[in-house]
Amino acid sequence: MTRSQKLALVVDDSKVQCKMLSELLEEENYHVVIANDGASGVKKYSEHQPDLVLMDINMPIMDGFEATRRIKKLSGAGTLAPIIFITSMDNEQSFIKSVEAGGDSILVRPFTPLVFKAKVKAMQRISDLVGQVKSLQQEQQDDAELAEKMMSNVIEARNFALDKIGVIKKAAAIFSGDIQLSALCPNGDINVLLGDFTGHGLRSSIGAIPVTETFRAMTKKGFSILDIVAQINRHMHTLLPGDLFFAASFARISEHEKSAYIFNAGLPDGYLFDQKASIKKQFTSTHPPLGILPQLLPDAQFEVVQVMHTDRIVFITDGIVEARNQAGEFFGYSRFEQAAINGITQKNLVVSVLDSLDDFCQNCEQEDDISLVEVPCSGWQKVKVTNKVTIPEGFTEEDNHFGTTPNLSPTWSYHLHLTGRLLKTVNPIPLVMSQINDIEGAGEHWQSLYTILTELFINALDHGVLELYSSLKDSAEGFTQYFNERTKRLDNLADNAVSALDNFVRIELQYFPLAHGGKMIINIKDSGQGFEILDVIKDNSIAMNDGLKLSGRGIELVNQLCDTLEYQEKGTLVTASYIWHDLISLE
Amino acid sequence: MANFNGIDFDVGVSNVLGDEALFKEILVMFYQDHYLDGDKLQSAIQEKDIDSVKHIVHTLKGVACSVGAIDLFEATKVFDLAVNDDKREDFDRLFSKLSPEINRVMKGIELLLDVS
Repeated sequence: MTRSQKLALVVDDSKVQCKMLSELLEEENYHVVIANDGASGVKKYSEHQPDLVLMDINMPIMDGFEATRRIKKLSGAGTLAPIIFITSMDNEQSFIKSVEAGGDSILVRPFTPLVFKAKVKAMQRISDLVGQVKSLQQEQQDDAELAEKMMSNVIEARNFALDKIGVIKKAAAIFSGDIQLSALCPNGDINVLLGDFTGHGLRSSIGAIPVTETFRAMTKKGFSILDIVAQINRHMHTLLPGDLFFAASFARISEHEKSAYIFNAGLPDGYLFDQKASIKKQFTSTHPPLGILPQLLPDAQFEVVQVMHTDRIVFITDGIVEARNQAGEFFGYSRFEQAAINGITQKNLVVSVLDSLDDFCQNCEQEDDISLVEVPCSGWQKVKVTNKVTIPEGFTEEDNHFGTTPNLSPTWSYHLHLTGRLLKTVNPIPLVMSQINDIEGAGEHWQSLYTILTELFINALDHGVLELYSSLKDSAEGFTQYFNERTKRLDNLADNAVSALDNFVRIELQYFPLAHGGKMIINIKDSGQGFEILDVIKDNSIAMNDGLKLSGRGIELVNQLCDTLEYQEKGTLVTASYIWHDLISLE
Repeated sequence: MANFNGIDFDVGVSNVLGDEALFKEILVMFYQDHYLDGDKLQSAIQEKDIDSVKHIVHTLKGVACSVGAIDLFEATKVFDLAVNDDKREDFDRLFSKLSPEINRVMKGIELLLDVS
């Protein structure tokens, strides 16, 4: 058989018919294999995998219908295995039965060689098309697998502290429409996202890259969780087609504040579990999925909860609760909760949930992507903040030796004066940090500066302009109350056009380069009434030592990070000096 | 051109794309496979072995058509319909029409080709 020759199998118990059909097929450049009954036809089909089968109906041992059924079963769904019935039974019944058995065509005697030739050609054309579709499908599958691998690398491999986060990710197709992200904030908090695009497969994963980029870039720059959610929502609204949207849960976990900020837009309830595997809290969706509305709802707000170091936050997608068994029942919330509780008790939530799902669904086809993240509420911070106030590394003699002293004029300075409504709508810290990065380049030491700026700005806004008492935050309930009150006062501030300019926070930065590092002088002034500086500091120190007080920790942290920290003008102006040294050159 | 009794030689040869030698070879095969069909069919009818009746008639019909034995084909076609409709009372009558056609075609082949 030459390379271009195709192979045909003729199944007929009449040698005369076999001989005559072979002659016609050879004329069409087929090599011919013959079988004289249905059973040996099936056997020869699997041996030779021919390009075409001509099948008689009435045969001993096994008739043509049964042989056809078996051949079609052998060839599987992806291959055509074209079969033409050749018969002299010119009745409706045999025609219908041929098609039902899986025959692709039927040729009724008598027919001329020309009709035969046309029939074979037509069949071959269909068969070639199926072959092309199949090879295209294979190519597409290969491409998709490659693309998925690359996409997973871009998305998940760059996640922060993957080893600490428990993850379930079972895609229903090659591409998952679910996405799991984690990234470290400049102040050591961690941001986590679990999202679910409508549907599954490639179509539903197109939004994954823009979501990832936005989430990472904004987290790195220190934007708040609500800023990030709002930006992702805008992005998704612009980018995604009308029928695609993005349900997602976000968490920002602050280890040093012992708090978590949660935002659930359209996912099933998230959970806060304690060490004993009890459900401390559930986070219900408070917002439609992202990408539907051009902007977040005006009252969109995250939920704030106090967390213990031993707590963990768990987010799931609907693929888990809506997984179905053979009987069509949903896995549901109670089965999930039980599996999660057992899992925490056995110290492996992921395995427990997966096992429980597998037991429930058995071998049912997975209909949707299944995802879960389990995030511990501690273990993120690289630098431990101790209760003991340490003396910061300040200005050294060496700095003098190399010429530049901090007493000279700054090489640059920066002022930002925010008033009224802008205090609610603008988060100045990423802006400021971005300026610093633009002028001085990126560096590890900016992380501490970020923390200092954030703490001092929040203090000026919350305690100065908004006149909130941090003592409210002493209890877990108070914490939530504090944030609700804060939101209310910010809203009032934004709505009050009359005295808008009277309410302000001013941030001033002055930068002095040192021989082996630099010094940043930070001034933050607010329009508030001020406070008794000494009382607060003293109060906090005692509280810190007793390990009682939840608030005030921020200032202690800032104090540790700064060279000097001074309150003036009745506490309405704070001046911090932050010095860092290039560690390599000091060695 | 050979004149086979009961066979339209032109139709038969054109069915193997004009190859006369091959067609003669096929006629010999046809003879060898079917020259006893008359006897076989008669016993099957007598023994009321409907499966065999059906198989003999149906196969002969297809082959007769292929080799261009037009009258034989027409006779088997009528018989085949009767078998499918389970009209057993017609079998003897139809056999009496079919049997001479079989004999005629077989004799024609015997006369002109070496069928031993």
